[in-house]
Amino acid sequence: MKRVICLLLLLSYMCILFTGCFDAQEVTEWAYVYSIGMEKGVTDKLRMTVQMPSMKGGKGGGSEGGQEQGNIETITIDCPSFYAGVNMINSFVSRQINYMHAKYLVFSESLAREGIDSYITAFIRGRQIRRQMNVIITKGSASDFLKAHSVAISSSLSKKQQNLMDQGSNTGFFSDVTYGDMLDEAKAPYGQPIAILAAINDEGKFKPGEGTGQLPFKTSGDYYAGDLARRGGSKAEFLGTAIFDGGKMVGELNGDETRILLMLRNQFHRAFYAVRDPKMPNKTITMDVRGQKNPNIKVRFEGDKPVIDAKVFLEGDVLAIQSTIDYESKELKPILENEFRKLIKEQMDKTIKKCQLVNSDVFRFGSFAAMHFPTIPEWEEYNWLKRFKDAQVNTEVDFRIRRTGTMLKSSELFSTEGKKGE
Amino acid sequence: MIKEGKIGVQEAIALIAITISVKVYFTSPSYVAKVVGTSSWYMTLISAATAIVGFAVLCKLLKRFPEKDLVEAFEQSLGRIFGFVFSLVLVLFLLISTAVMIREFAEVLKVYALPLTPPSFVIGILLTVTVLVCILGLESIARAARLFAYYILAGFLIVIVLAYNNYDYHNLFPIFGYGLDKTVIYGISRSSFYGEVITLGIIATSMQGLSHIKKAGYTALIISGLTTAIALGMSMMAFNYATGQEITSRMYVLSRIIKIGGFLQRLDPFFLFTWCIGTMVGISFLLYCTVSTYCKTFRIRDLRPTILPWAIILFTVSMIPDDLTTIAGYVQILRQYGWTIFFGLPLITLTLAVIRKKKGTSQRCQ
Repeated sequence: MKRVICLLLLLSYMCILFTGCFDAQEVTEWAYVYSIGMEKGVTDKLRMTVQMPSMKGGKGGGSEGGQEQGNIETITIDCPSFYAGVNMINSFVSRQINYMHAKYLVFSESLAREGIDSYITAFIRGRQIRRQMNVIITKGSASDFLKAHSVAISSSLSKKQQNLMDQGSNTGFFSDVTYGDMLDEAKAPYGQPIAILAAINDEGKFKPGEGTGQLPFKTSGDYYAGDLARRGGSKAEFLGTAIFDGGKMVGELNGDETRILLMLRNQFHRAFYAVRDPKMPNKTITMDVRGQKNPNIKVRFEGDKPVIDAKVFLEGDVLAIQSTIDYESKELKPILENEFRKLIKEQMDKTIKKCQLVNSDVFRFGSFAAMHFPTIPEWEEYNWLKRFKDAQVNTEVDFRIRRTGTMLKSSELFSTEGKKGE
Repeated sequence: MIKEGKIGVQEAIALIAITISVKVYFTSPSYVAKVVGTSSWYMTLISAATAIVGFAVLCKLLKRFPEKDLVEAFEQSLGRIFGFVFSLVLVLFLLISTAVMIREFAEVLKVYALPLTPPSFVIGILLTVTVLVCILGLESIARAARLFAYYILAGFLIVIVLAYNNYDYHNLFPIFGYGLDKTVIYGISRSSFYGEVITLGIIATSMQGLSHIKKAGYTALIISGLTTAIALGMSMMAFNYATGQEITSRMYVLSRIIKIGGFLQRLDPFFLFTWCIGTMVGISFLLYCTVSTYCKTFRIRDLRPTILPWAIILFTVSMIPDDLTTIAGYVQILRQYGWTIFFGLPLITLTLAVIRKKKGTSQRCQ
């Protein structure tokens, strides 16, 4: 009898527990935010934009006050702070705003140049904020950018967001930098933070009609976000890197420079490079370039002056040779490799110089320098970030062509003029 | 004499290692980073080494008083009155340690997972389970600990391994943190992180002799030392000494930043299970030790009727601090000065036993 009573008591106690705890909320009670946008406010300190799937449950459903594009709803509000804005949005959105699955944290360039340190250090306290969100700096308004971005090619915006970020590792034109990375870099003296540079491409650079084929050609990464001469596709464009000093944006890198940055940060995966044909300068050779192994970075000190020796190791496959010159041969392959080494070294020196001018060690050379200091007080006293601009940086590039695609040899073309290329 | 049943070496290892290591999921790693910086991962090894010395003292004491537990050793060495005082100090210290651990768990859980649930509800549920487990006895707690040990260890290692792409070994430099002297001194004083190993003295009569106690204690200290050092080192590599001091629960956040492709990410809900089960085992064992020490001190033969009252006292004590900051402050005081109780009492007892030439006798010999 005693056992039965105990069992009944236990079961009734469990019944209370199974009704759900204080935090139990159904999925239908949440509005999951995909992207958060921040820019300077007009009627208040901040203009905040949140982008989420519209809550259409059927024919009777509809958006709740935002601008709906496809299945995505974009709400913009002027507010004093992010969390106050979330509450304000909940005054007209029936579901509770939940940003646990937010993928993008977008800041306008003007806000970033003024300093976003107060925002990035403040957000992280919220339990829903994830360090894995990508941080994006957009030229112009953040809300306009998010509206442009919501016109998705794929059926799901979240999938588009994920896939777009993965493209960074295929092109090297932008990094996969996260909020956590930015926070870590802003708070410790190992290096400076970076963010993805993005913009709306209004197709203004695209000139209709047929041209003459401009020479010398530009490299594919010689553009900043919003500058690609193109027509069609999503208006939102990710290209380049915003560089920071603490929480303040101090400069930007284009696609080529971003690739160099990634190589030196050991985050470069793969990119297609079109290089000038060493023997026929009006032709290009395209290569599929990959990181071969970790860069070899050494920091030493000559007196108080830091000297950095940086060597990157790359390898690649030939994708296309416009001329019919046989670069696959043992004799000519080194010429092509040297041409590429020269190109990367030039770009590397230029990029490092550019960052030194704004005194922003976005390459994290500081993390190698820290190994020379026994204690944190000594390291912080040295003030690496201040001295980076005076550092002497020696660069070296190692590049090997591993494969030549599906061809082992390039044969010449025949025409009425005889053998082409002779 | 209380009949507590018998437990084996593996069960004792699991009990002690879980009770010690589970604390790494709470606020301590961040506080350690604040004090010693990048050197926290080997600072904890210094603490573990110090705790091994402290445990060796306990073993000496138990060797001097064979087949006796710590409470009886206190009494035989110091006399009835001082032995009683020492035992009572130990009871109070265990009570406070357990209360702080419960509240710290509830607060951290509230920060990351259950923001709307009152701490009293979390603590209430946890203590309900703990009371049930304690009523079932030491053997049940120990067997549950052994059963869950593999799961808890696997959960811990999975988080550590899956977060591999967030590690940067440069974050461990400057190697001496805020100074080698500070690291060593703080490492020694923080040995109380491993202080729970002395609970083996409380349950000594449930073990199969001193050799088993020694084996269990040293092995548990080595395992918990290594797991704590790995947790501190890896989480320091994932963040750095600056952000590493800010995060409330570094291990929990480490599980949140796991991202291997689009599919394998956001694993923190799975990690919560490991964390909660580990804490449940740890708290059950500490409550049992508190009650057991109390009953032995007051010569109460059956400890079961006292478990519920002790749980209510524990609940009340754990609800006293106002906020997480106060709790974190108490945690640091316990970690920094707890060694005086955990290792100090057995040392004083042993010293006085040697001076006063007090020695226990084995009943088997008689």
